[in-house]
Amino acid sequence: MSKLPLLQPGNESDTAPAGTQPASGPSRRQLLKSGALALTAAGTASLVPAPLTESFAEHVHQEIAATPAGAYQPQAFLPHEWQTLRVLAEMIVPADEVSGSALDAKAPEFIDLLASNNDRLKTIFTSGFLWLDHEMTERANHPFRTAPEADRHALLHLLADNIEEGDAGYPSYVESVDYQRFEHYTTDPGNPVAHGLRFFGWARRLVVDAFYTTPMGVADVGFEGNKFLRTYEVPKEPMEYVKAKRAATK
Amino acid sequence: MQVIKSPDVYDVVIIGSGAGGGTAAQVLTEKGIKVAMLEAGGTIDPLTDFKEHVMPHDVPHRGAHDDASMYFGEAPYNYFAAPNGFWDIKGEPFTVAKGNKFQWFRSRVVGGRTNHWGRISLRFSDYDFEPYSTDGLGTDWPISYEEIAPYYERVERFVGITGSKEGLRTAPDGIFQPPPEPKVHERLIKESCDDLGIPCIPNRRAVITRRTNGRVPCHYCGQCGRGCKTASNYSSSTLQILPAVKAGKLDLITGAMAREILVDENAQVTGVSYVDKATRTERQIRCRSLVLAASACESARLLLNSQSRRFPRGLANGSGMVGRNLMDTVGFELLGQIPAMEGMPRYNTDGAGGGHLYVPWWLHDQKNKDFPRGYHIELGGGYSMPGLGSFQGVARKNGYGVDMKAAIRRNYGTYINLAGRGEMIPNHMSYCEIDPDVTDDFGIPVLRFHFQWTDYEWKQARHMERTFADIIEGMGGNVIGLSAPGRDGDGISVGGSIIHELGTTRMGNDPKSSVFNRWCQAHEVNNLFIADAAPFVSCPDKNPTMTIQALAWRTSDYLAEQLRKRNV
Repeated sequence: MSKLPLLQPGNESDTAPAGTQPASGPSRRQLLKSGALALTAAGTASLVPAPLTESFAEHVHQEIAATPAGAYQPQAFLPHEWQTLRVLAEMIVPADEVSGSALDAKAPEFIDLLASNNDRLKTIFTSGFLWLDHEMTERANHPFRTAPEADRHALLHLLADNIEEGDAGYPSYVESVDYQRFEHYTTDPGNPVAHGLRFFGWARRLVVDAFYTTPMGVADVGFEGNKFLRTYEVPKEPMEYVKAKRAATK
Repeated sequence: MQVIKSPDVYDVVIIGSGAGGGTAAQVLTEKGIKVAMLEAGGTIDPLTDFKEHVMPHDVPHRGAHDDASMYFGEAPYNYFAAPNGFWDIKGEPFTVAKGNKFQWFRSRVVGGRTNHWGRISLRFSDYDFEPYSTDGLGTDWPISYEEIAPYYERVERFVGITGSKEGLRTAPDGIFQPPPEPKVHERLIKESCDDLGIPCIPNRRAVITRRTNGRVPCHYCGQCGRGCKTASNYSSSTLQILPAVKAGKLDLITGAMAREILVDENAQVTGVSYVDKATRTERQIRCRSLVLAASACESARLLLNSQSRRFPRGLANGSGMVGRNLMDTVGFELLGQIPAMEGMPRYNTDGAGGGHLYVPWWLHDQKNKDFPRGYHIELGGGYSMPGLGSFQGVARKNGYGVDMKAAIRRNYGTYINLAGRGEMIPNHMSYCEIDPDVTDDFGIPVLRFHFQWTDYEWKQARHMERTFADIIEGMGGNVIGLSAPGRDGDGISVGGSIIHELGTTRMGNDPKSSVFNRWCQAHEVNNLFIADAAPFVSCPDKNPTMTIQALAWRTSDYLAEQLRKRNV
């Protein structure tokens, strides 16, 4: 609980289980009012190239010390970004009665690998994490990774719920002509979380891709193929299932 | 500049190694003719280059490519597909005239696009060779169905095509191997088609289901597009070119970008000037006759770039028809979601690759349609291998978390895709020419495309849309996406995107209106032949590859005879 905060002043723990920490400590606004921000190590870290500050180095060392031996060392992301990605991935693909979670399937590791080889992708995530932390701090006085579970879900629902254009709610999605860039929508400028939508689209896309391309994800949906067969036969049960279902609905 | 000339004079040089070049190489080398082949790309080794049976998690980037370029639409092609197909080739641009849309898919590898093609192998119908006589549009072919039919049969016996005898004029029967049995979604589509009076029959694909000419049958992994290590489907690389090279009958020169066809004062081809890509040097290879098989547009480009005092408009282009009559298949697709299939017991839907059933054209005799000619329908669906992007459509509509996971599970494998593939009528607005301003990285002038659909194609696509919606709704399904009237440009494929571009050096009996004669021999240069889809006169609603193969076989037989008689 005594670690130096990197992004937002506040009482936080990067290693605490997500959703278990109540909001506490001074809010960012309170710190701004007191003028404390500019004097904190975090304030310095934001002005000086991060790796050059002793406080940053200390933070990193603490992170590494807190990481279990043999744990994955992210290549693209800083420790707090890595924690944010893990919390976010676990929310997008949680464990359920069929399969494990994005963390169980090592989805963050896959995203880190790609981001470490593609600066554009990395920036999409690192800028998105900053937006997410800013927005969460405004809403719940915490960076995303340590915000209360209910607050995190409230924000993610705003980002994820696909409300058609013209509905009273937000966000609204408008078809983009730039479809080849995989950004299938542009955003209603009046939308209060407009600037997070594109990032969330990318985060969900990558987490879903990462999860469902692992043996765990493949087993979840029940893919039976990619086999070497001498003959190809279609079993009777699927057709009987469909026939029975259609008969029942007629 | 030093030009390196090969000391050998070949009987035949073939430019290009796809379905046409590969078939020509096979037929000519089997007759003991001395042949060299130029291929602009590299060679392949099926055992190491085909990514058959690789799951996404078997590679660290899972198909995104090492630099994650797939996520930005910048990957050269599907990572798992057989190598070297490109919508854009670095250093080898083409241009599209203002106000036009065209896409050009090229391969740069031995085997060309046959390494990953869809392998649908359909004979043209008798009426397809007489389009003008049938409805007054386009031009008749200089050959008839009866003349090409024996060559269809040779191709079918060599390649191996699945199918069934149906007795339909719109889908002439051939020599077929037993087709694989239909999958559940295909049976449901067929039931809906039955209700609508639409035929739905076993698909005809270049996949063997019985031991054929020493090849082992399909092992039903459904991954034909990745290339087949057991050569249980047709690629010119695995079945024709690599075996001929291995037997010492074919000299294969890779990395050879043809620049110009060389002719003497008697209008005879003497050789080919090409750029050796690896050394960026110009070289020449000499030959007694030349078979162009570089793909319809590359072949036209090469002829247009082969200008001389004798042929100021390009080689063999006295008619001005080189580059004209550019056509592509009319494409339109509609997706349906079938609620009755939600929760269905899972099974292996890989099969023999592609659809096990298809819909041949069924309204040939109906005279009151509002568009000419017709189309066939290709069926998609099943529990495909999860890959990057597989579940984005469902995820986007279902938020996140356990609800999203449940929706992905529920929707998996419940979609069907209906793809219409129809006939385009040639028009004067669709052609390719040499761009006066742009060259590629080898200094060779590039093509500029002009392409426009007309009402003929647009109305055909609207007929597809109505029909597909009827089929989907007949299955109790929901049409996803497009609804009438076709949402502007999305209601029809972009020209070239179906990758059936053809017609750019059409054949005919009249040298004033065609480039090649009935033997695919240039009217003006009698030792110049063509063996790709450039000489096609029309673009029937059957995929062109088997007709490329049959014509190439026929042309090669004719060329061999001419060589024997010393006529060329």
